[in-house]
Amino acid sequence: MNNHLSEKQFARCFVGVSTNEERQHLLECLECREDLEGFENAIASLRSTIREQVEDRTTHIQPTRERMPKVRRAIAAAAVILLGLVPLLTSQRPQRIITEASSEKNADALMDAINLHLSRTVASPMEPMMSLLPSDEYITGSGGIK
Amino acid sequence: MKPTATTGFIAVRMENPALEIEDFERLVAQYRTRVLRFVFASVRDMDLAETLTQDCFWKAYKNRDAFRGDCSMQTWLMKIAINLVRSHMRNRRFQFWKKAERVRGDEIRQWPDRGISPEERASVNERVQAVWEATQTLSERQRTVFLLRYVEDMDIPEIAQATGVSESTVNVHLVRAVQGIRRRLGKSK
Repeated sequence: MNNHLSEKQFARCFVGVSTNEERQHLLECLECREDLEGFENAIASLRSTIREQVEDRTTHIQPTRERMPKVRRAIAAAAVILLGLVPLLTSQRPQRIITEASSEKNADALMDAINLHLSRTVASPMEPMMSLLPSDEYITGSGGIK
Repeated sequence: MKPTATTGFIAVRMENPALEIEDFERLVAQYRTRVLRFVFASVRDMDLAETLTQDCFWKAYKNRDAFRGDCSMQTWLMKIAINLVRSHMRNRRFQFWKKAERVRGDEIRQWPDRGISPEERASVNERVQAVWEATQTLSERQRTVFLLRYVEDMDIPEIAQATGVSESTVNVHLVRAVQGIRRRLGKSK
């Protein structure tokens, strides 16, 4: 063996498949021992960082589940459904009022309105434009205007 | 035989299928962190790791009949997780994530390191980043055995079962992985 462990010997020591000779060298060589400890620390830091990251993530998720057991989830779902129904129920009420009011209307007034509508030659929004057209007495036989 | 978490799950499933899902939820609660840890260490992206972990349990649930109890539940789940990580790495559909999976230095600085000075924290974070990046340069098999051994603390026979190779092969991969990381760290210095 050289003065220090080779990279392969170092790796074997780290993994735990080293020979007696390599182990003996580690006991005697402070530099190799420190090198190994430094590498072990680096790997331990990686492990603890990953573990902390995952624990942080899982502990952020788990309490939410615990806080919402099945009964509470059912109650929450029922509340959401009820809240969803409120606009539906409120929007149906005025329609019912209008329907009731229209049924109470005078039938004659309704017929008058219908007759007026039927007697129109053009649609009511176009009626103002009809006044702009010349009347029949100004129209000549050839189609021109007197 | 006294029922363990694994055999208990199977026994309950056989006796009363109605309890199956409830019990599987317990199983997820028990092993989710371990699977997530390994997947996160492999892909270096928490959101992606969660997706793959979810896939892992979904696959386990779908193939629950294939579990014969000849290895521990953890080993079986890890086997599924290893395959998922492998197919993720190979799947071109996930290439988009490669950009995201690189954890930037400024993100690492925000990671929690309780009870140490900011200088020490910076030094530790730098070291962690270097080692983690070095694991990404390893071959898939080397990285898998390295992370299972040193992040997941699995022993050699368990790793051998999960990866489907012999124990001596696991040791060879571990030695090569350490050499690879050291080489990489030497270059980055």
